[in-house]
Amino acid sequence: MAVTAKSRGRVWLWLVALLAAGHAQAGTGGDPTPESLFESMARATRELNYDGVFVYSRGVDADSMRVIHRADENGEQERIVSLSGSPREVIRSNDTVKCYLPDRRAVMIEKRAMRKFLPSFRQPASEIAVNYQFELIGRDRVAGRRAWVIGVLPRSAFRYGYRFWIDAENRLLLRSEVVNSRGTILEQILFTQLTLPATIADDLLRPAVNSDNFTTFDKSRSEESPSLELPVAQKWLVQWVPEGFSQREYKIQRLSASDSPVEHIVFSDGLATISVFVEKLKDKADSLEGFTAVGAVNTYSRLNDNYQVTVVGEVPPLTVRQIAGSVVLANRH
Amino acid sequence: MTDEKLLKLSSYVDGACTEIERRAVENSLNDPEMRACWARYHLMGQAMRAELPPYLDRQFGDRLRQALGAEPTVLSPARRREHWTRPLAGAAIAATVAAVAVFGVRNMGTSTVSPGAAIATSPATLPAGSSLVAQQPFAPAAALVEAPAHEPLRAVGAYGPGDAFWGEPGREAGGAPMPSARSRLNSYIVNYSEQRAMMGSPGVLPYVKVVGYGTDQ
Repeated sequence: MAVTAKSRGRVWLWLVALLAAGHAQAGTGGDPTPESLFESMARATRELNYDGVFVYSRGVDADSMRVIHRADENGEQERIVSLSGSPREVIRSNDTVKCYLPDRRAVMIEKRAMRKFLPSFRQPASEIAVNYQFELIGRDRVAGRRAWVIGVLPRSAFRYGYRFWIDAENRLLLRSEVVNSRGTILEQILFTQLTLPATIADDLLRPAVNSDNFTTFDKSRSEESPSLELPVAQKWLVQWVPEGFSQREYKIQRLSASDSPVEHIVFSDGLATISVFVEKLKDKADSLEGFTAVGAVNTYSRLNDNYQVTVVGEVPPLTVRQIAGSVVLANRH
Repeated sequence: MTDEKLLKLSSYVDGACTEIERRAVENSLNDPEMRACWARYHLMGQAMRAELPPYLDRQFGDRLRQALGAEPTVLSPARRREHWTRPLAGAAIAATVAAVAVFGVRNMGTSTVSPGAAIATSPATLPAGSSLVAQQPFAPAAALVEAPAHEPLRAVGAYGPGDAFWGEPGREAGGAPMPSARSRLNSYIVNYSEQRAMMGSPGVLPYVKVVGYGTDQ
């Protein structure tokens, strides 16, 4: 059959249209960037209703937990229940946090200034990207849902890397990993089940444990008395933290396990948090020295004159040790 | 079986050997002992790359530990001293912010290194440049450059997840801290966890870690 000039022209037109459509799709509807996935994940975690079961593992330990989250005109309500071991629960209603500890027959109530939540929660990916490299790893499936996988790779050996599995549809976190430079997974959160109900009943946000006979410890009036101050001569200075970490918090706390007030300085780079604790010891024999590790959290302690310096952070052992070594009395520098 | 053979087998499993070595190893797999060893290394390789199914029975862990214990070379972890903080790391960090403050010191028993810890730390004992080191998916480009010169990275490798307490290098590490010091460290970690929850690292559910640390033995 002879092909007419007209029909040939039509085929060409069709091809051109196809190409144009393909091009437009690549330009607007292609793969999301890892940065945008990361940011929408942080938002989805706060703004959506969800009810899911996940496994939280660190080192050799694993626990399964259920999380129920509701966001509406009344703000955020959240309940986390431990499904393994003692059925502990944490219920958060905006800035009030209640911890139910059946194994201790206790309820702890705390209040948190909401403003403290906001800055780092909303840290833009572009700021985090100074210290970490974002990459889109690919697609996967978690808890029966389609997910994008992104990597957040540290730009220096002083940090850990992260991998996030983000729901392709609603951008919720489905799985996360903290990974060291050898590729060992130190901590992991993995959803096995997740639903997004349009509404969440109040009942689901109430504790399942009967706390009638529990002792209540209400700390919402704040344990950190504002009058607690140290003489200038006792203040300590952290001379070194990895580039990109900045101080987010400074407080003097009264901890029951400590005789003296404890200086607590907090650093963050938007992803990882590091705490530096300094306190005066009454007895040097009482000191701590060296490393410990819990999942991705490392600690390093040392004695500086009569002061105990302890650094705790979700960073490699090298980093906590290096920071601990840089802590000096402020008036000497 | 010679150590050299085991080493070759190990790098074979990790895909790090030359073509000639590969053939030599494959020939040697006719030997049943070597074959059993191969299966074991393969399993460990999977475990290290986190490819194992998530639900492992405890007997499996015991079997793996026994297997590792019976294996004097290559992949078994370096001998280390057990210290008091291991139970703390594994289990006994108090529940929430003030649990330590309210309930005081908990009695922490002792435990031995679990198979998981052995697996996690074993790459440190592999010769430098072996495949496990080369494969690391998260190696930052600047890793070796930025590491402080006085702190060999090899030493860092010794502190894996769930790892035991190590004393100051060169210092007698035996003396366990007083119970009061332990509870102090406990309350530091709990305070830190609370702080981290408050900072709300994106994607990390606030308070998950606090609930998680409450796990009892």
